[in-house]
Amino acid sequence: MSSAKSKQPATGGNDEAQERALIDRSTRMPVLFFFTSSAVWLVIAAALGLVSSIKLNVPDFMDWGAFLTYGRVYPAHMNALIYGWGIQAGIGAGLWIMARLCRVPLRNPVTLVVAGHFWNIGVTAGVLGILCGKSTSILWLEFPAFVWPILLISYAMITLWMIVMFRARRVGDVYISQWYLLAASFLFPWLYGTANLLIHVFPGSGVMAAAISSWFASGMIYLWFVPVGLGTTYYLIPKIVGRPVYSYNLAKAGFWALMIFGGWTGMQRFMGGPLPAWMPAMGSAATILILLPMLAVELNHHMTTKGNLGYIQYSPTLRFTVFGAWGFNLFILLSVALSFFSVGRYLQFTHAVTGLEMSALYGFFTMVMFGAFYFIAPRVTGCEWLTGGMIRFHFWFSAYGIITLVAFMIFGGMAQGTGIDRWDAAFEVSVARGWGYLVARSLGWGFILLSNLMFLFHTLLMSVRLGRRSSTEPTLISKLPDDAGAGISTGAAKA
Amino acid sequence: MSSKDPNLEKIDYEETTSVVDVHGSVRREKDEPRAGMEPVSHWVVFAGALVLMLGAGYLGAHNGGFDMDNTYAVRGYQAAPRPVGEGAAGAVQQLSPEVWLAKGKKVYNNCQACHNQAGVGVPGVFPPLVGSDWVTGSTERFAMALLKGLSGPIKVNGTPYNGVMPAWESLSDKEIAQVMSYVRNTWGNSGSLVTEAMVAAAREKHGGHVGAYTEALLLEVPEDAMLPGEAVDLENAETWPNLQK
Repeated sequence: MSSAKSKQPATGGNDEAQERALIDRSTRMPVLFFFTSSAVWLVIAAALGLVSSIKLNVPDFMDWGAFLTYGRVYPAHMNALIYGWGIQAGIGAGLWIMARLCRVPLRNPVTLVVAGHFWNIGVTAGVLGILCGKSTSILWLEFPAFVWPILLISYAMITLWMIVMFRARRVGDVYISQWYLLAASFLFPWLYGTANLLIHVFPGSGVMAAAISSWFASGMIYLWFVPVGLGTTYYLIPKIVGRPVYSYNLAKAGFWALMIFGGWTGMQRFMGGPLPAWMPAMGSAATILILLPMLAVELNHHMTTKGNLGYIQYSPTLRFTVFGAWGFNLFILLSVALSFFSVGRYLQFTHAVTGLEMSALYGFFTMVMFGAFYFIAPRVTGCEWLTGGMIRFHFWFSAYGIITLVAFMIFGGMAQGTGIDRWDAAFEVSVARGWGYLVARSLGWGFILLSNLMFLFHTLLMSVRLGRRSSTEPTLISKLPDDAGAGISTGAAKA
Repeated sequence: MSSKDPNLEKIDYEETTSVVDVHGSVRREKDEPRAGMEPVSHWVVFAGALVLMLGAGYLGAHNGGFDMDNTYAVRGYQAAPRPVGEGAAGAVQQLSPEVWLAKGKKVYNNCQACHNQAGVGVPGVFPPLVGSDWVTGSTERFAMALLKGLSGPIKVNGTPYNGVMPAWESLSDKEIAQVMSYVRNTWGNSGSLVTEAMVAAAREKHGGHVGAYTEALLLEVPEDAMLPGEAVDLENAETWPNLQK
């Protein structure tokens, strides 16, 4: 590319815009591939989530054979959500943000799309394998054992190009989002490879396999979903608000705190279990220390957006992203609370754990990814989202769905957990106490499924360029008031 | 910047890279974000130190001495040890009244051939247990009949019966106590729970009797004669250990 020879940064508005457009175009194929396939997986995951949730209330619901029993549908749902939706959406957003911040076009989109196909084949085989009863029944690693090498290799093929882009960057300063995205590129192979090797290739005792899988699940959240999600919020929020991130040093402290403590979390899932006591204690202590990155990120976001959150009413990206940033705070606070023995002893084997996982995977990560979709898709396709009404529908059903889900699972967990704790009452009592809350869980999944059917439809329209062709106005959630102040109208127009 | 690369001129999506055609969303956006250099407030450092202390303190309190064999470092985490008799720490598993009655129901399998699963007996042949004073009233009379059996005419709920009931002294004190509790508290019957100690007392007092009891012999025992032993109150969990004392 000839422009690569001219090293001076583009400063003029049009030159810069054209450079951006070139970069966007180079990422179009892989980004759209990962976006659309992840949106499809999200609908599948939400549908499986709804079915598995209803089964907890009505056990003979969809009683069509072994492949639709709860023990298969629930892990299929979780794995579709994590590997089908979460990781693919994160890769799509991450590739684009990395290309933009390095100011280099993506050199090898075809390789990425090929790797993406292998990833999807792996996830499909894994989900079908679980439904056919070949699940390994190890937390978040339920895919049959032949799947993990496929996923690991295709992930490595994808992130290789992230690293290549980073090495070829044309900007001296490395921005915060790049740290996070680059770290996540290395962390997934480390976590996934270690867990699978220790469980499938060099199996030890069953107790240790449980400990490893809980370390893996927690590591996936703190060392993959959190870095990718925060990398995205650190890009989108200052970009739309149009102000620099408050403090570089604070961001750096937060990043390193997460990197140092994230890998020690997880074993508190087995507090009081048959592990040496220091292991769960270490997990709890590390989770408490995750408060450090949370405080740093929250303070940075807060000071960056201070007085500039008026756009949230109009900009879909800002609204989803800020919701996700709050979801992050809520998730960290909840997981710290559950890390204390005094709380965890009541909640560790209850619905509260589901609520906690969903606050991370959906309340935080997924909502941030929606923000990224709404920002990135118009840039790579060259058309605008079709209508604000569809975005509004998507936002409110998603927001109500996840709030219902998390709130009722936490309170349901309390009701259930205090029931389990009563040694003189039958176990059935604790199950009966959770029943009503599970109805709300099904309702939450229903909302989420509905909102994501709309989102999938909207994303597919974008990917075949059936959005609005107007290139002057972005699609906003609600119409700008006629007498809007200059600050708000320009801000929203940049969304 | 201008691109001379023909491949980039028209990739797909019917576009050129001409400036005029750059899509609006790209043209109108703000600069790429950058990091500001605001100093970190002392309060943030202070809050961070508090979090560190909290985490370290937690680890210090719960690490169990980093002993690989110590799996329960946390006092109060396990359910409190159940109150049992002195000197028998942990040896006897104490049962709640609910479980006590459920076990009694299993022992009742021995009885249901004659007295029926629903305790109604067989009209004219085997007497009912439902609403019968013999079982809901004096526990001593009930225990005597169970231990040694019955023979000859007997009036139950106003209806005369004449048959033979075998002795059940081969059952353990615990089993007899459980089945008595079950019969006294099922099918609408309601009576006090019978403990193992009460049955032991009955066996001591009446174990020497030879042959089955008759109605006349049972009537010699006062109708409110209850077996000695600490009672169990369904509402008061502190009395439940008495079931197995």
